[in-house]
Amino acid sequence: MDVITRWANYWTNGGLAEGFVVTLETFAVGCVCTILWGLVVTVIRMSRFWPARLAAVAYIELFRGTPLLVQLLAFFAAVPILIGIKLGAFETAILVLTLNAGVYLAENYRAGFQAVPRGQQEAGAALGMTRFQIFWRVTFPQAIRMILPAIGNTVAGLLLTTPFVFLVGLEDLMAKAGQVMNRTADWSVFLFVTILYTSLGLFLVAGNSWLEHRLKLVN
Amino acid sequence: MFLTTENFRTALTLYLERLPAAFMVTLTVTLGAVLIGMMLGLMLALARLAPVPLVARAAQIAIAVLRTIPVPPFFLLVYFSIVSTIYTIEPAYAGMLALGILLTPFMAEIFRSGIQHVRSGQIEAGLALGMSEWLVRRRVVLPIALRLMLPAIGATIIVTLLNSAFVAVIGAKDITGMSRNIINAYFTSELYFVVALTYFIMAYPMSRILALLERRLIVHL
Repeated sequence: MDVITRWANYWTNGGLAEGFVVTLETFAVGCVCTILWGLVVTVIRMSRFWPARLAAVAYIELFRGTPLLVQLLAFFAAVPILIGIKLGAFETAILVLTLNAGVYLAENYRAGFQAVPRGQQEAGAALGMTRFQIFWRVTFPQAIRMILPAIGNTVAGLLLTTPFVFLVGLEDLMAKAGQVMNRTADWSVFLFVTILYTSLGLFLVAGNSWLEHRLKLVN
Repeated sequence: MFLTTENFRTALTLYLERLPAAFMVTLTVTLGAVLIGMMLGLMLALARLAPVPLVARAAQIAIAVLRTIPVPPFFLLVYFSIVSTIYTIEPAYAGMLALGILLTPFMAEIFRSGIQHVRSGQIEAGLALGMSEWLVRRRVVLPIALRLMLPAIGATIIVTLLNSAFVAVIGAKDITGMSRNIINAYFTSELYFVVALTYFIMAYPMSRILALLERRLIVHL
């Protein structure tokens, strides 16, 4: 019981509640940005112009082959010097989360688009549709069914990477927990925070499987 | 000019000097975590496939819950709970333990799907040849399942290598931690690009080799 009272105290007076809101905001904005950015990368990745394809592949491999932690620190400390623009903590966090998660989503989008049989596009072309019409009316509606579960997975994955963003100085749940730890030396605050993140994750997973179930019913 | 200052050259020299020792720390954390994850994961996978419904259900719930735990809070939980209740522990070892535990559900799922995807015809063929059930397991199921699992395990190793950088936050002297000290002393944040490149040089060839293995090992199974 003692622990629960302490946790409640950290939540209301220790700043964990504010931190939780910041974490939720980062996560929500990060999700939207990632879903859109992944689509942009996929379009570039599948373009007919080879330098664009090369750039997209280089970006994907580079972000997949380096730690998120180093990406965050680099964008926090080094990139602002390089390009001469200083971004706020929230903007940096969103930027890095999007660039990082977008990579994985882009690969899933591509797999979804490529899973649509070639004959479908050819049938569209035979009917005299333009390239845009073929994409929008033939490929996209079929691919989206395969892509939606991947979006769900990416969103769940984003929840695992969001706690990293305290490294760019964002006052999120992790940062607040660290401050509580510094003041009170009570390690149980990390147990509390871990439980909070996990509950959020389980909630998302449940929503995800409900959605998948619904989509199958509609099909 | 950027990247060519005296300061940066000093920092880079220092970085390259300390890299071998730091690399060993990163390697130890990564491989230790993978081993812990594989051992616990195998146990969890066997529990998941157990014929006792209660055990299987408990394992299933454990997998679902463990999968949703993010690295940073769990990591600090493991480190600080050990430090404040038992004894001081090297940050690197705490990191190894935390990453290993978080790998468990992924390893368990890899093992499970590997075991389940061995085609029943292969097993029946073994039995038809008069092999005992254990012999079929050892000679047929295990070799095929291992091949099926190898690419996924490899991918997990790469993810763990990249996640191991988090030990730097509690002061371990791995590649990231070591370079953070240099950067803070010399104010050369450009060095982070070199750090990123170092990880990339480790991770990229691994992923290429895996892709190759995947094509050669699985195609006929």
